[in-house]
Amino acid sequence: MSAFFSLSRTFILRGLIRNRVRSLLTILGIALGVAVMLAINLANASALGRFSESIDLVSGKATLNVVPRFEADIDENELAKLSWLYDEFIKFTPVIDQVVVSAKPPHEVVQLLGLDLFSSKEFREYDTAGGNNFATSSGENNSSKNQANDSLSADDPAAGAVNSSPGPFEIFRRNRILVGSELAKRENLKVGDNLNLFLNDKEVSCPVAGILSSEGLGKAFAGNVVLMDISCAQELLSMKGRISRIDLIVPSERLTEIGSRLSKELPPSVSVERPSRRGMQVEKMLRSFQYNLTALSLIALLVGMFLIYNTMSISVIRRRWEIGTMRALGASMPIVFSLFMGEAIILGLIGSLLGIAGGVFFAQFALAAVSKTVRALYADQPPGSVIVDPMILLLAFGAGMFLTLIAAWAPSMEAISIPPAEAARRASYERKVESLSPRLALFGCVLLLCGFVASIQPALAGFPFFGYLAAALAVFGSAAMIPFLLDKLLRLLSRLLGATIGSEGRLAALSLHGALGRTSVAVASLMVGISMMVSLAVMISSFRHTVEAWVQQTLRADLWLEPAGRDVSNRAGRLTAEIVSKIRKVPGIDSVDAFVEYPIEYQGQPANLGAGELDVMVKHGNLMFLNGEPSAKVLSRVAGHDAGIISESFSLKHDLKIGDTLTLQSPGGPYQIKVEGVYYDYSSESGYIVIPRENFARHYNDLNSTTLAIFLLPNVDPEKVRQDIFAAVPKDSRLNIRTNRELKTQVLKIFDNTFSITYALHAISIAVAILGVMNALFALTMESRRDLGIFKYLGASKEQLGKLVIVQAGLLGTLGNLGGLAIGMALSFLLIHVINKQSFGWTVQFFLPLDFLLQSFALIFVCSILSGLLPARLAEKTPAAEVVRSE
Amino acid sequence: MIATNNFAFPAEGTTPSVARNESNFKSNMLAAQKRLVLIFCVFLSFLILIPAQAATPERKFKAALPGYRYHFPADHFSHDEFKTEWWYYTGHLESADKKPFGYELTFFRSGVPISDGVNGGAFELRNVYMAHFALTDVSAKKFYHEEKMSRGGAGAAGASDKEYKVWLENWSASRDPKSGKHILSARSKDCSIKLSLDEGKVPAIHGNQGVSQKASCVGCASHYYSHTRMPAEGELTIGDKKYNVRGSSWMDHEFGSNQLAANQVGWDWFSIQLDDGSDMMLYLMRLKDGTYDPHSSGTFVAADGGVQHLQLSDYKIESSQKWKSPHTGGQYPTSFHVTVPSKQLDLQIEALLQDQELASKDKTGISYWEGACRVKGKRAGAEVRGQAYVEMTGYSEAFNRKI
Repeated sequence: MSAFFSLSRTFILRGLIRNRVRSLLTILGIALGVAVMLAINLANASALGRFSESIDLVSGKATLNVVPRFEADIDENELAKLSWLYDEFIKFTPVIDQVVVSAKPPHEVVQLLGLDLFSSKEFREYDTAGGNNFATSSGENNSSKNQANDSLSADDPAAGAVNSSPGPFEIFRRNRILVGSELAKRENLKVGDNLNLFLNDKEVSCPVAGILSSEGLGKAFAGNVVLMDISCAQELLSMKGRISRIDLIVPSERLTEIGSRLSKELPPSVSVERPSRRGMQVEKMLRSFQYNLTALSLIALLVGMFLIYNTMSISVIRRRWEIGTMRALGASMPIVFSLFMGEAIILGLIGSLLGIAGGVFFAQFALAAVSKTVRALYADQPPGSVIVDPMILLLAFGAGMFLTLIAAWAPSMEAISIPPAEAARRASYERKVESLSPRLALFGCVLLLCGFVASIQPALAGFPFFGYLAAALAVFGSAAMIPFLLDKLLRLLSRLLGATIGSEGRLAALSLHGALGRTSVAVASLMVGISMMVSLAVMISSFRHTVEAWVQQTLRADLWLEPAGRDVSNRAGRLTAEIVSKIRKVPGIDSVDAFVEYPIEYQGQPANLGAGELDVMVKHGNLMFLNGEPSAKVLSRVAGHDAGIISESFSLKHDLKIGDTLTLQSPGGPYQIKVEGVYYDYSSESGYIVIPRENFARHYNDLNSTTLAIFLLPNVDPEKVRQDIFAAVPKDSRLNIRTNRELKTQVLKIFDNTFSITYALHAISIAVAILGVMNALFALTMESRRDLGIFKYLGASKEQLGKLVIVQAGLLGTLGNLGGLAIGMALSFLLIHVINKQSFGWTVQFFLPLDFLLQSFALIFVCSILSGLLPARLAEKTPAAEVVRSE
Repeated sequence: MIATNNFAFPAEGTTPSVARNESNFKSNMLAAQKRLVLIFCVFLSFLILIPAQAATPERKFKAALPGYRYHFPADHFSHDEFKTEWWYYTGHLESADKKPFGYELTFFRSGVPISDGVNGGAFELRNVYMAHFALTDVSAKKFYHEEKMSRGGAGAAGASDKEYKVWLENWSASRDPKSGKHILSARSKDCSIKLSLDEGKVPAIHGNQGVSQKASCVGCASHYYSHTRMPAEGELTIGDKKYNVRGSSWMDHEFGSNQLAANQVGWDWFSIQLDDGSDMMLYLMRLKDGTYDPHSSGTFVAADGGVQHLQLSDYKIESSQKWKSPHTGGQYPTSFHVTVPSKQLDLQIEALLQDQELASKDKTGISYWEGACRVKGKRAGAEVRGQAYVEMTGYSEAFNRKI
């Protein structure tokens, strides 16, 4: 055993140290792969974990909710219908639950909870910071106050009235709030300060009556939570007579019984559900987004795997002679195998551990980026902090080690297959590769074919499983074809380069061809890294161009008006009909499309119902329809009918086509909408249904608006109209009015926010690609020293050798770049047309970011040359005699 | 000194005249103040507490002033202009098979002192309601109790000022305007009562000039009256068992606007019904220094409803036989020797069950002992028996700490 360890020390450690640059690059590659995967997974799990945690904290002990079925809220009088629950000893309490935003930039999104503070403590945990100490001091304050009051009454008996101190009732004053400690910290709030909130088109000052401790409810929504008494919340949110839901604590064994009795006794406008349902809904919405991210992050790990394979293969090739000697001296096959695996394990271990440290570190940035996307696409949720789940760490470590072992397996097997006698003949492996290459290529073709078949499969339970399978098959399939292609290509290139650059060029190509095995590995690992970079670049730019074109085409209004509350992400923000009618009268305005948007549920899934003024939309609007019909034609079919148009993602999600009829629920009962058109929309993943405004008013009895699209008369200055609108509305109205150009910029900004995590992955992919190039080239050139020694022996000059190495590096860089480009294109096709389409339901026009591709091509090329420089310098110093002796 | 209230109670709806007597003004301490403290402390424990802030116009409440003219039944109704009000029923019941029971059902209303809350709507916060329900199963040696609290949102609790109706969730006390009977109904997980009570004697008004004075300042008082002997019948359930019961109840109703002084640690309150037809309310307010507050007082109600005020010097109460509560650790006396020389009364009061403590389930809440007791003794040398309810606060540690 000790012999084995001493052998490993001399064989493995010395090797690793001697080739420290290459070892370092390999370790970095694995570390980066593990780190990216871990960061993404931690961010995903945290985003979801924080969300469910918040939902749990807000739900508290409630086991059933009475929620509105097709409105935003329910009538408070439903509570009075529940008095039979007293005799069943079941507690219930009203809840108001709404998202509001801080008026101060950066406009923190705040969850506002209106609770009956007299019964809410039975339902959920919360406390003010330093809670119980307050109780005593406040109690004492009161008693001294009361005595003061008593004497006051005694002095002024004529008043005949008694003043009493508010004490614990402070919170029941108008607009008083308890603020989550994190929010208080960020907004720098103390008791007695005001937190200004945007509510609809108003800015309201809410005096802070207390700071919630960071336990219990104060922890929900990353502390971005504001608590009020229900009566104050109703007034603040203009929800007189309305509540968001009723929470009930029903023992688990009575859930069915009580649930069905509730359903029977309550009107059809409400439904009874478990509190976990909302969490599950959000989880379902986020799932495809998160799986996609995880899958993308796996590519980074895949590159790490190729790096290990690369390193190990070269290590085996370089040591054939040593292996042969060891075997001749009696080392068994398992010992040799273990030695190589041991080397891989050391690399994998260090890399994975570094990766875990890096992953945990990067997770917070990933979470911030993921949260931006989640916020833009699905739900308002402040990022919160990363939950470091040991299971995920273990999983990432396991993945790193597992892939390392898999990658090292083949080279290690190759090592033990060397018969002692043959070991001295270095070329045998390369010859084997050469003879195997046609079969490998055939195998690669089969994989590619399978990939193609997978790419045309439909989504599996809403997740593009086959799309990802196709991507993986494309990568492995192409990698398998590399030796065959290189065999043919390098022969060709040797002639070509010989003719153009001279003998160095020819020799460079031939020497790469001579070491076909390692060349293939190097090119393949380079290719995978580059393909990840290319595919992400193509996907992002295609997406952005599509959205830009859509924005250009669709957003035609001269001015765009929203209440301040809504604009900064409170989707509940509304404009009253009075304000809208004031705005309509502002001179210079041709017409106004007052649009209202309403979150609904369609077949158990969240969606958006919008209503617009069709006459204005017919005249000015320019939606793009999937079938190419002009906007006005489709919309004139909708006007005046029980009809509507739906967005592409809604159409895909619910499998609805033109001519189909869909049924929606409303307070006035169910009603039907005939689908007259399917239009492109990139603003919502859950999708839109748009119906005529008058139909909406009829079904929902809601005359408020969420956004106004304002069309001006010809030659009117938008800036002047903007000022006139501000002058026309009440002074305390907080409106955001954007010009057409500002809105377009805004939309693209939102788009960029949505894609921030993808941008981050893209940046990482560039780093991974460069790392791959450096590792592959550095290793390869180092291993070419023998050839270089011979050349030198044969009379090559220093300059010639240097040139040869650089040409070799450039050649590898170019080949890898080309391969990466090809696979990258295939992958981006899969991402855009299969994976994204199946996940989100958006049609994205393919767009090639030529400038980026050229730049990255150049960057990789330069990196290749640079990675060749150090080995070239070494090559020049190679003592020819030493190398040749071993031949 | 014994002050005799010379109020006459005419028929319903008319107004009794109230004599002004300045000299009797002092030292008529409210038994009732106890419950104010109780309510206030419980509020403190339930709410999130916030230090008082900058002065804002506060809600004004009416002070309890001498010369108050009682109207019945209107004075049974809620008096929202006063800050604090409660309706308190205790009673002894007996089933057809002679099983003895005791019950307590009380409702508290406390006006919210802020004036800039939200007006209107189902959740308008004008009052906070609290209620206690307790049942003593003497033969089974079981004591059941529960507490409730509510803001009264969306009809969950309330006290009408148009009729006598006060309720908190599924507990209620009301008065049938036709028969004049009080209807009590309460139901907890363990037990329930449904009782119908006759008003019995005319209301006994405590204190002088319609006020029960608590301190020398004007308005530091409350309005306090009792129905001391209300024939009761109805049914009660314990678990699956249902009993038809009869017995006698005692109702207290008190409303005022001032709070209790800080140097009081608790009180012992007695409501005694004797089999010669007379009733008596006595209480002792215990001070921090171990003495009794000189405002402690009582009322003797003759069989014909005639009322006599008792000062602290008119009666003497010696307690013995401490019971230690396993729930709160508080030590309560459960045996009392009461003497009222002016009435030639010498009574021994014994708890029917030691453990009749309403131990608050909430750790920060207030616990007190309120229980059914038997009375045995002599009046003018003659044997007399009776029943009582005794309330003791401030014996459990939690209460002391809170005070």
